[in-house]
Amino acid sequence: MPEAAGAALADADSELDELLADLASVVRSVLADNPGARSATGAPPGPDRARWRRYAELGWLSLLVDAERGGAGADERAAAVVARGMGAACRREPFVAAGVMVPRCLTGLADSAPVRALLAEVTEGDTLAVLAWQSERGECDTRVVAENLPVEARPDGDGLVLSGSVSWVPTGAADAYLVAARHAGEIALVRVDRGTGGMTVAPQRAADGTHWARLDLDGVRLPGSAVLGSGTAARDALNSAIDTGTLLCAAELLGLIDRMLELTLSYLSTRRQFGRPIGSFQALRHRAVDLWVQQRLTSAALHSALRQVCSGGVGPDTLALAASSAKSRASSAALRVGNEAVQLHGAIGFTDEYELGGYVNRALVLAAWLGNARAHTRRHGRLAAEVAASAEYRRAAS
Amino acid sequence: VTSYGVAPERDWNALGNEEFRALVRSDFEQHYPAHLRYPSRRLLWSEQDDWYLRMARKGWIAPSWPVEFGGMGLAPAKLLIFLEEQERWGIARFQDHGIRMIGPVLIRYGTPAQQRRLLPPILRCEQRYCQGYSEPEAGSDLAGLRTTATPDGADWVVEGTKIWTTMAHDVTHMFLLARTGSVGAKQAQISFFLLDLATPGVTIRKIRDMAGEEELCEVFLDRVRIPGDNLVGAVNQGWTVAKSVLGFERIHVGSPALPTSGLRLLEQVAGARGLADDTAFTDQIAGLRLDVAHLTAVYEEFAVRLERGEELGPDVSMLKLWATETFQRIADLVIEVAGPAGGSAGAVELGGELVPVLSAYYRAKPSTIYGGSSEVQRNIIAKQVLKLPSA
Repeated sequence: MPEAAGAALADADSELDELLADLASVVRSVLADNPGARSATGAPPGPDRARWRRYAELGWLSLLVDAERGGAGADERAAAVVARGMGAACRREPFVAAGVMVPRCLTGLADSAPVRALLAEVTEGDTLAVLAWQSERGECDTRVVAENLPVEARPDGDGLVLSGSVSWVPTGAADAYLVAARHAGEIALVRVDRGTGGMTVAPQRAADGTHWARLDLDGVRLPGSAVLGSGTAARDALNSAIDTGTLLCAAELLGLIDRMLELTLSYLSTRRQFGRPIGSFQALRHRAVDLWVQQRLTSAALHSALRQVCSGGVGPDTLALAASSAKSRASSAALRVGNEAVQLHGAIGFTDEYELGGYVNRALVLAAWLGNARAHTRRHGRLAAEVAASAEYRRAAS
Repeated sequence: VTSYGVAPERDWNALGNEEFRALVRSDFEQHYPAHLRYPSRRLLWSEQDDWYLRMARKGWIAPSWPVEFGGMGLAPAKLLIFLEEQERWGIARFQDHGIRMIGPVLIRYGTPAQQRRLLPPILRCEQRYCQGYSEPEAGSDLAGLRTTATPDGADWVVEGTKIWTTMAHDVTHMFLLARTGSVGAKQAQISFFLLDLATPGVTIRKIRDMAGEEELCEVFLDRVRIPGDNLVGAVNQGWTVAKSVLGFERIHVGSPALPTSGLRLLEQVAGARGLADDTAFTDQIAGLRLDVAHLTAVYEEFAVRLERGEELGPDVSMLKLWATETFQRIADLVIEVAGPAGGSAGAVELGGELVPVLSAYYRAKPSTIYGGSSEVQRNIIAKQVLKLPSA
């Protein structure tokens, strides 16, 4: 690259950095009224809709939608700033599930009136929609293909009938579910609204007070217009949405790490025992350093992944590798920081009266969602080997 | 020819980064002797002098020095590329403290006369330096060093013992810290000297390490005379001089090179032992690869800061911590997957190849001790980055 072009790029970078810093400060101030994290009990059944609409007004639900489709035309770096802020404030609205994955999936589908309609409802905050594709095993070690899907769609006149059970749906309080179904050997993405006959939503309490849901679909009849996409376009849109969600879930986990570390360092500096701050004891200082190292690693892993994903012309392998790399680190780091933060606080850290426990509970949920550290480490290893082998094959063939 | 050495073939910084990388890579690949790649121990000067004398003649011996002092004058990004390519091709380092530390020290703190006298022989590799910092009673607490230097006429008379001086027996000179004062902070009583190891009163004892190599030395200084013009910087300013040259060095010691070399050995041993498809193993190595990938990601962030001309802060200590501790985890896994060969000294035949199974272990073991132990790095971060309270 000629130096002049490099300099221009550097300028563009610093301009972007400024925009992202501005966004981060807006996110902080909007979320500053955070009532604080609280535990698994006594949480409301779903997100506060007024707050969700506020996020929509701020453009946070359309960051990944281009300007021609009425979105903010930003990229994953901006979404990561919001997700990290959500984590730091321990907000439990499904920003990544409903505000990132669904818009990303819909914009990957062929344009049609039903797709446009749902995209508008979702980005304006009127409809809370989430994707539903996992079986009870919750596998994430391969990309999603039709034969792995737990729901089947059969043709029925002009419409179709859905049957099966789909698990690990991130909220049972959604207005609409975007169900991925097997349909004549391909993937069909089907909109199923809450209250549709034949669908039962079975909630499962999550550690942070939110609810997962299992959707039991027993001969759910839907018109043809409920099918938002099918075939390879639907498959690619779904996988891209899942990997993008995985990457941004890592950003949200980093936000949790930020705050847990901040709380712990402040506690070590102020809590006194044996006549001195406990943060003056070398055994504890060294443990605090190791937590900070995990934060730096997570931040570097995330930003490196974001740079790769945002560098343009990125294929599915690059996105998947970047997502697994970041999610693996963020999941293991968040749990490690959470566990150590509780121990370094002592008994107060285990209470529901102090905010740390809520962060740890949230970390448990997000570390497990979309594949935990072990699952993504394994997936990264396999994918990297596949990519290397195919590069080898191409070299040998040419 | 500049007044100091060979004039550069061209303005390296005018090249694009990738163009520069390709040029350096092709030179190394064409000219570096194959039998010296990835050595499992430090090589003696006599084993690799051909290569480094060629680099000296080519004007590539001092990539970081300014052009006017006989270096390549590389900007930070180019310098990192140069070092990365050396590491990628498995090029052995010689005991190059003269190039890496003394040159920059003299350029910053030396008098013009010192620069003219001392830089050219370093560029020609005639004078090669080891580092005389640690002492038997001053390891992690370096400022507590006891070696003294007392003025005597135009000279200084040095008395004391230095230890853990790597390759002292294979170099010509040593830079050392000695106590020259007795008031104020311990750090403000120390001066920085250059010593010709052929001076009477210098005795070098080799220390055999647990790998069976003799790379470390103890150096006894018995009323050794150092000429006054071999004092660098002002009297009692040695601590500042010693610290000032660590800037670039601190990022380099945390580069992904060592753990990456460990991964290479791990793959080789696992392949030979038929573990390439063993899930327990593939999960472990996938995790270690991510540990190295994320080290690289942090390393690149520091490199970008250098590139922007920023001074690196104490947070750079995390690079050494994570690089060396990751390297040790990799080396430990090599031993585990090697099975019975995990106890074999030297190269052992595995899957039809000779594999130095313990080489990573023996390189990893001291890496968390030298250059400021892991415990010292954690102390630095706790105090200077996290600002945790002292008692």
